[in-house]
Amino acid sequence: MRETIPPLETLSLTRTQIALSIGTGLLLLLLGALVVVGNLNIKAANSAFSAGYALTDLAQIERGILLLRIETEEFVEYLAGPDFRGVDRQRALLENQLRLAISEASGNTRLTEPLTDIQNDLVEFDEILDNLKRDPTPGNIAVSGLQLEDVLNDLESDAKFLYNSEENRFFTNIAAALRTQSGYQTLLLAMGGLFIVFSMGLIISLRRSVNSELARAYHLLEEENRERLRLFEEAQQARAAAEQANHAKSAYLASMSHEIRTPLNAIIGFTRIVRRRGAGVLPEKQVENLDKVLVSSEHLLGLINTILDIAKIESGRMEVQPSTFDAAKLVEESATTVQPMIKQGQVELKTEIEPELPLVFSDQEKIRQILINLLSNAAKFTHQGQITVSACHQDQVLAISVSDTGIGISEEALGRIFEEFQQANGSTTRQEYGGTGLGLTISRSLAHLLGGDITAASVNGGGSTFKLTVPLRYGVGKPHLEGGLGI
Amino acid sequence: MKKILIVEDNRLNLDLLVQLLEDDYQLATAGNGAVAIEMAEQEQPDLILMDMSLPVMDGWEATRRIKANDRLKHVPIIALTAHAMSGDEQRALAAGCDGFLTKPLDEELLFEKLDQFFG
Repeated sequence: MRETIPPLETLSLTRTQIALSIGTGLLLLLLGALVVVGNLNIKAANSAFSAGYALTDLAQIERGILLLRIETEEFVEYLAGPDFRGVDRQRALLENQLRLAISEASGNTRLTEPLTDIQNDLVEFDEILDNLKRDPTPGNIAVSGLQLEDVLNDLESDAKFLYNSEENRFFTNIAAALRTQSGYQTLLLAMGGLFIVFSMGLIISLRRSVNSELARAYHLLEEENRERLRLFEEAQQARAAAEQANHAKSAYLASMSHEIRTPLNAIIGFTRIVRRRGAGVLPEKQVENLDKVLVSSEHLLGLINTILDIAKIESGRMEVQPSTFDAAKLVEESATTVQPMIKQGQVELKTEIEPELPLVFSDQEKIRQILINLLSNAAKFTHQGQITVSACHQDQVLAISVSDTGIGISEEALGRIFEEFQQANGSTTRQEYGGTGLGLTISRSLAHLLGGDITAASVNGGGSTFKLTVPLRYGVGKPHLEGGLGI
Repeated sequence: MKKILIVEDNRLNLDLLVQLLEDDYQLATAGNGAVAIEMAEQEQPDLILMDMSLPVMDGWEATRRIKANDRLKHVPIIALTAHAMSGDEQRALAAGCDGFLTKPLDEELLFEKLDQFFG
């Protein structure tokens, strides 16, 4: 990919070209000598000499600007990030060429003024580049890239104009010198003319080399572009395949849900019919057995629902449906929902709600699901004492805690209760208290989905406190990013 | 006695619904959406319980056709489906269903819904 583009310095002048340039200078000097010997129109010939000499410098500058453009465009196009080396190197080379040209043109305002203009354009170029170095973000690169392009356009047309006008001068002055020739000078002039043609050929070849370098660089860029396009298409295909796989997963989940529910419908339905019509007919023990079938079926159904929920969260298809609601009312309603599960007479359920609790903008049903999970856990594991659900807010965060005086959780178990299929005491707890062992896993995932979290604190035998925190406004504040369930 | 048309292709689940409802309602049954439309025309039921995944013509299409039929569109249709994932209720209501119940069926919810439609 990138290594197919050689650094641009290898595109700069070859030794032969430098030798030819020096040769050009020498030939022009020779022309100057011929002019003196031949006693031609000295003034015009001198002008031609200096114009010809300046042409070499100007061609170099024009070329330097082109190379700077190539480096800059490459940088901008490929968002090379903080790697400014290519641009800096070319910028420094151009600076040297420009300084050399100005010092050689010293005193010749016809040249020094436009060259100074070019230098001023480069100051502007540097300012934009500095700004880009301070903030090399893609957005800024795009904006600054356009500004740099404008400056480069100015530079290019200035240099071209300068070169063309100097070229005109050269030929005009040669012509002027020729017009004033006397008879015996013809031979010398013919020789000088040959030299001039030869020198011009060299300068033209120098300019051509600029064009071919440009063409080559464009060709390389194009090749790189094709490669990037290919990679982009590959990435697109991979993405489409992933989307298709995700779609297949969704379809699989939907049909699994459907297929399991259909026989479960018959199991639960007929058992309930037998249970209802068998009461008073069947022996007590058999009615109890039917109840066990029903409890197990409900458990299985709960498990399926939960697994589907987890799968949905995992695949990012669980949608948050935020609305504005009264959290105090939600807490009261959730407490009412779990009231029947509380051991009546032995456990008291209390709510403590901050009077100034603001309205919340979040997914009410998901918060309700979490609260009911926390409250039903508390109800299940608390045999006497109280369960307190409290709600308050601080710094744009809603905090709802459920504290109980239940059996508590050991420090060792506290670390893994949010993992799937984990209850504090493993199978014994599950047999005694029931539950899928997925409730807290899904509650925590839902909390993460809403940008919040659930934490637990407990003393073994001394009760537990679960605390849900979610932003008062969904989508505002720091989202919790460690969502995954690791399934 | 009100008449209910049960559309259900699964024999066990059809049997269950029949056992739950036969004491209180007059019942007609259909095993797919196309037969359901025929039966509805013929029996003029007071309510239809419609399973959604059906052979020949599914419940969504049958519901759309019944709701487009001037002689049948007044008959309330309760979707009764094991498609219980989010979006399934909206999909059933969009097809023209007037109620939505999921399987496994909660019989109390079913009776409640029926009371609601029969006042």
